[in-house]
Amino acid sequence: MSDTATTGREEALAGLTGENLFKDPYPIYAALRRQAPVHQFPETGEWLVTRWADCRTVGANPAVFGPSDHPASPEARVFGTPNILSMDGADHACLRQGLDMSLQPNVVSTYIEDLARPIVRDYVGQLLAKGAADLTAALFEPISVRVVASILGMREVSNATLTRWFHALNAGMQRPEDDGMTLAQLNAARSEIDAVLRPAVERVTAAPDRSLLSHMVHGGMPDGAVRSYEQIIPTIRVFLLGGLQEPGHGAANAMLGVLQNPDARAALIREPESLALRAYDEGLRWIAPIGLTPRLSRKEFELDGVTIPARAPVAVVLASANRDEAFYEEPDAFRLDRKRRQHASFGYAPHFCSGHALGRAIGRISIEEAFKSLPNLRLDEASAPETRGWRFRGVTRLPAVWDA
Amino acid sequence: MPNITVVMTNGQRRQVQAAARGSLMQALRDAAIDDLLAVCGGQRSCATCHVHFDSVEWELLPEMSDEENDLLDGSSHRTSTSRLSCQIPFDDRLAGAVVAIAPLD
Repeated sequence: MSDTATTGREEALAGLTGENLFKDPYPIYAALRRQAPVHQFPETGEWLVTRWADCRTVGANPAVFGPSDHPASPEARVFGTPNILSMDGADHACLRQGLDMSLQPNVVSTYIEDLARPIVRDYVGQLLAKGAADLTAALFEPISVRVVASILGMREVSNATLTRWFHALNAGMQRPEDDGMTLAQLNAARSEIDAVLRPAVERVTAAPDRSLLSHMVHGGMPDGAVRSYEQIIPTIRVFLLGGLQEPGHGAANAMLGVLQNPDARAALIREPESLALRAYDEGLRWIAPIGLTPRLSRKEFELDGVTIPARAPVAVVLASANRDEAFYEEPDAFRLDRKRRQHASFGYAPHFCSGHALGRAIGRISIEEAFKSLPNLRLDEASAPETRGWRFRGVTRLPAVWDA
Repeated sequence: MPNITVVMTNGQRRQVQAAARGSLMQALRDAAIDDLLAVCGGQRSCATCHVHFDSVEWELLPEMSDEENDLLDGSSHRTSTSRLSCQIPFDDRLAGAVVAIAPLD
């Protein structure tokens, strides 16, 4: 390696800290893709894989890169194991069959309009006269929480409670393990979740219904057999974070992209119905709400000249794959007129996001209704939006105004 | 039990014979044809199970949905015989078909 190359690599790695990634991971990912596309991140011990093609090589190769059940991973700490993301083989396929009973695209299309459209219209209606709001907190998060809680079978739990839960789970995932305050909040949230969920799971165990919670208990199981609360609570926690939060963050991320881009904004105002889904999909690519998917190497594997050892935690950085200049033109730009291409935000089979059809439907309806009902919707120039996180990343504050 | 010929991305040919059930994508994955990534696992949500039908009675295949059409549009390898293999039932209508795995985008 020449001296110049060494210096470039050192510069790229100098910025690689959890704190910097949390603020804005994209310049760091770009440097890693150029200089160190397969690199062990000292803070978590994970091998970060950042190029589009490499992410696919690792993500879509379950024979070599299994799901991560590494006990030290933030996912294991926050969700517990085994959960749907850490499971493997027949057990995974069996539980996944239960989840798919509520979430497969052809199932989602049978209920989503009747369920989500009235909820979205209700929240948009409440905002209409105000003329200004933080769209993340006042619109996208509560819509996502209400719709997904209904599907889970938790209609009676308030938005405030559910939102507090996923904020605590999210903080636990992203902050260092020794952050006492975060840990206390995480443990408090986990106790509250148990107090509400255990009786709910007991109810659907005795009397199955069509909720996702019920499908988690009974789905795919032989006659008479059920999964216990202990067996499904780690997967429920995955849904409380990934399910409740992420469709909302996807919508907020897409909305920021649209509102920052005059052509895209004009197009959405003109044709909200036909362009909302396209905007949502481009938002998912531009800022992936779930920034990485963890894997564990089953054996040694060489990638880009780097040897990943056996039993090593590997982070497939979906957010970076989505910005790879080798796969997308102008990857950092939010472009509504982009030729449709895949993005990596839903991960790879057999762990391809089970909620992808639901998330896209919630996002499409939210963005469509916002543009239909809030006249001249635009960013609030007096107040800056805020985007945070790397394992999970979302536009956490999106101040907007419209003509009331 | 339909028997089909699969043309891999490197040009090699393989015979695949399997019980008629599930989708063509599933049959190809079960036959360990790793060239076919099928990233979404058969949910019509990616285009990585894209194949070209070199020989089949075209009108016997199910009609293409708008969503499949849209996904295939995103591929630079789309031809007039392109389909997503997750959308094709693996049954006797495919007997004798020649199916080429499309290169990855």
